[in-house]
Amino acid sequence: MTSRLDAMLGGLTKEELIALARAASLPGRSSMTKAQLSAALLEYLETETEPESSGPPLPRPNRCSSVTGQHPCGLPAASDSDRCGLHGGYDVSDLAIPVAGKLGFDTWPALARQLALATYDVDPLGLDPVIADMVWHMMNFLYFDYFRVEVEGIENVPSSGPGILVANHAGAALPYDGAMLAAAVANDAAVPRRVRVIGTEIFNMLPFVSHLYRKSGAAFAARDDATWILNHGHLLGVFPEGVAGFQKAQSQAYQTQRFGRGGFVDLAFQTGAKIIPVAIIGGEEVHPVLFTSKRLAQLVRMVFPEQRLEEMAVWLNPIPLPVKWKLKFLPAIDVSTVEHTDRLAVLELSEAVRSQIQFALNDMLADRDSIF
Amino acid sequence: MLSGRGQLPTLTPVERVLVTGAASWIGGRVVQELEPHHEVIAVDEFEPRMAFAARLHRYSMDSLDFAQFVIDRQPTTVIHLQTLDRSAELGATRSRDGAVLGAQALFGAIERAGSVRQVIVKSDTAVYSTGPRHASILSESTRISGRATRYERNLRDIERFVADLKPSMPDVTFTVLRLGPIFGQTVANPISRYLSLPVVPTLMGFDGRIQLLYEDDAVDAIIFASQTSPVDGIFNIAGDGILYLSRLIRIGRRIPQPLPSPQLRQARRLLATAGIALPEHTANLFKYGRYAATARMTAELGFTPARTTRQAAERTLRSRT
Repeated sequence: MTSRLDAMLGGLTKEELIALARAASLPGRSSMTKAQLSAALLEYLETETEPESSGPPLPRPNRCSSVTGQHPCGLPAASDSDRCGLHGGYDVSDLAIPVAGKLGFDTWPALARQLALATYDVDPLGLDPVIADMVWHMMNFLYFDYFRVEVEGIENVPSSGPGILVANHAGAALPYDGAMLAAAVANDAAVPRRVRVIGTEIFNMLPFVSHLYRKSGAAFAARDDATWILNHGHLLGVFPEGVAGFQKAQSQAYQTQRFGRGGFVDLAFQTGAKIIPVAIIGGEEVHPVLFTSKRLAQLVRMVFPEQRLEEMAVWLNPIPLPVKWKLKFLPAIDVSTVEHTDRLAVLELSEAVRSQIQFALNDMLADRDSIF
Repeated sequence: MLSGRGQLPTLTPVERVLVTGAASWIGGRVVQELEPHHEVIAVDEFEPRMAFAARLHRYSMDSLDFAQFVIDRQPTTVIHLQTLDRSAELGATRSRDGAVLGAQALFGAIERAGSVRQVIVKSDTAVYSTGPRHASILSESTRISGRATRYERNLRDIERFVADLKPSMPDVTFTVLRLGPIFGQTVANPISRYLSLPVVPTLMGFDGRIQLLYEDDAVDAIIFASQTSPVDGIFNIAGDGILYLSRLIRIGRRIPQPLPSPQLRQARRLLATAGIALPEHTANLFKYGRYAATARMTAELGFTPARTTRQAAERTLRSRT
C-alpha cells in the first residue's frame, strides 16, 4: 500500500503536492521541497487513514462550551481546553491560532453571530479577534495560493516573549508585506503567534481602512503603542524605512532606504526584546512602479497635510501580479549582549540590521530564477 | 449612596470645602456627598440641576468679586469642577471665559488666601485631544500635542495654570483628575443622550475606540481623591477596557446609521435643534477613538471604578429600553 501511495505521489507536480498538504493542513508546507512534501504527505496518509477504517469517522473538533443567552458559542475549542479563544481558551492577543480553528469558511456563521452579539472584549489597541480571523482567512488565500510564500529560518522567531521583527518595506499600492509577515508567523511558526504590525497615520485617516486595520491587530507607529505591545510580551512587526521604502522607483527595488532614527533599537534596549531581521522578496514586483512623481505627492499632501510623502509612485497594474514571495528570518539579535547602549549604539545597531537585511536580499535575489 | 460600594475610608475631620461648578450634575452630586460631613461652599452662576442643602453662592467665576469671596471664606479644600464644556448653552466665548478666566481667578485667589491645603481639579481625557497622529495608548506622561478643539484647549490652559502654580505652593497638593467620558442616565450629558437615540448617526468608515466612566464612578473618584490622604499628580480616571463605537451602539440595542461626512453634519445640526448637540471633541472621539491608560489611577491613587466600560454602557443603555 505504501509503495502504491509513494508512486502516486511521485507522479504529482509540486503545486499539486502543496494543494494536498494544505488540505491536510501540514505545518511548514510552503517551505518544503518536493521530496519533503511527499514524505510528509505519506506519513500523514498512513497515520490518518487508520482510524477511518476502524469505525468512527475523523474526530470532530471540540466545540466551545461557553453559552451566551440560550445559544452555545459554536466555535471550535483550543486543543488543550474546552473553550475557544474568545472565551478564554488561549490568549488571542498573542496566539494567532484562529478563533475558529483551522476549518475554513464554514465557521463564518458562528463568527458573524459572535460579531453581532459583541460579548467578547477587544484590547486597548483595538484587536478584534473575530475580525482578525476573517482577515486571516482572506490573507491565507494570498499567502498560500496567490503569492505562494516560501519561508526560511522561521525557527528564529521566539516562541514566547517579546520580539521585534524588522523587515524591508516594498511595494507601491498596498502594504502586502506586513500582511505576509504576519501570515508567515501565524501559519508556519512552531507556535503560531500574532504579529502586531505598526504603520503610519495614513491608516488612521482612510475610511474603512482605519478600523479594519486596527481590528485585525495592527497599531499606530508611536512609541506608546510599540512599548505596550512589547511590555505585554507580543511580537512587533516594524518597517523602519517607512514611506521611503514603500514609494520608491523600480530602479531602487530591494535597495533598503535609510532606517530613520532607529526607534526599534531604542525599544529593544528599553524592553529587552530580541530583534529578528527579516528579508522579504516579491513585494517590489506585485505592482511594478512606472515612475515616481513629486507633483502627485504634493496633491496627496493637500488632502492629507500630515503626510511626509516626498514622491508618489505610479504603478502599472490595478490587479496585483501573482509574484512568488520569499521570506527569510535571520538569526535573532539579543540586545543584552551588545556592548554599548548609548545613542550612537542605536544608530550602529540599526545600520547593522539594515546591512544584514540588504545582504540577505542580495543573496535571495541572486538565487531567484523567475519572479513568478 | 457611597456606603454600599465600600470603597471610601472613614471620613477625615470636618473641612471647609469650596466646590465650583456646583450647578452642574457632577457638582451637585459632589456637594450632596460632602455636605453631611463637611462645611461646603457651593459656587456657580446658574440654577442648580441637583438639589442640595448647602446654599449656592451665585458668582460668575471670571469676576474679581468671586476671587474676593474665596479669599474671605478661607476654604481648606478646593474642588474645581467648573471645567465643563458649556459652549452649547453659553456660546464659545462666554464658555471659554467661564472656564479659563474662572480658573485663573480661582487659582489666584487660592494663592492669596493661604488657607488651602488641597486642590482637586476635574479635567477630562479630552485634554489629549484625538486625531490620526495620536498614540493609541495615552498615559499621564504622554506629551500633550496635536490639534485641539476649543474645549480641549480650555482644559490644556487650566492644567497649565495648575502646573504653573505648583512650584510656588509646595505645601499644597494638587490632584488633577482626567476623567474619561462620563456616561449614565441621570447625567444626561451630550454623549449619553446622543448614544441613547434609537438610531445613532455615525461617520461612515470610522469606528473609534471609546472608554467610558460610569456616572457614579466619576463622583466616587472626586470624593475619593478629596477624602483619602492627598496625592499629588495627574491621573487618568476611566472604566476598564474599551468598546468600539459600533459595538457600544449594538450593546445598547440601538441602530447605527453610518453616514458620509456632509450628511452626518446635517444630521447633527438637525439633532442640535432638538437639543441633542454632539460637541466637536466628542465627534472627533467617535471618529478616531482614544484610550487613556489607567495604571497610575490604581497604583498611586488607589482608586478603581466599580464599573468597566462595558458595564457602564450596559447599565445606561439597557435600562431604558
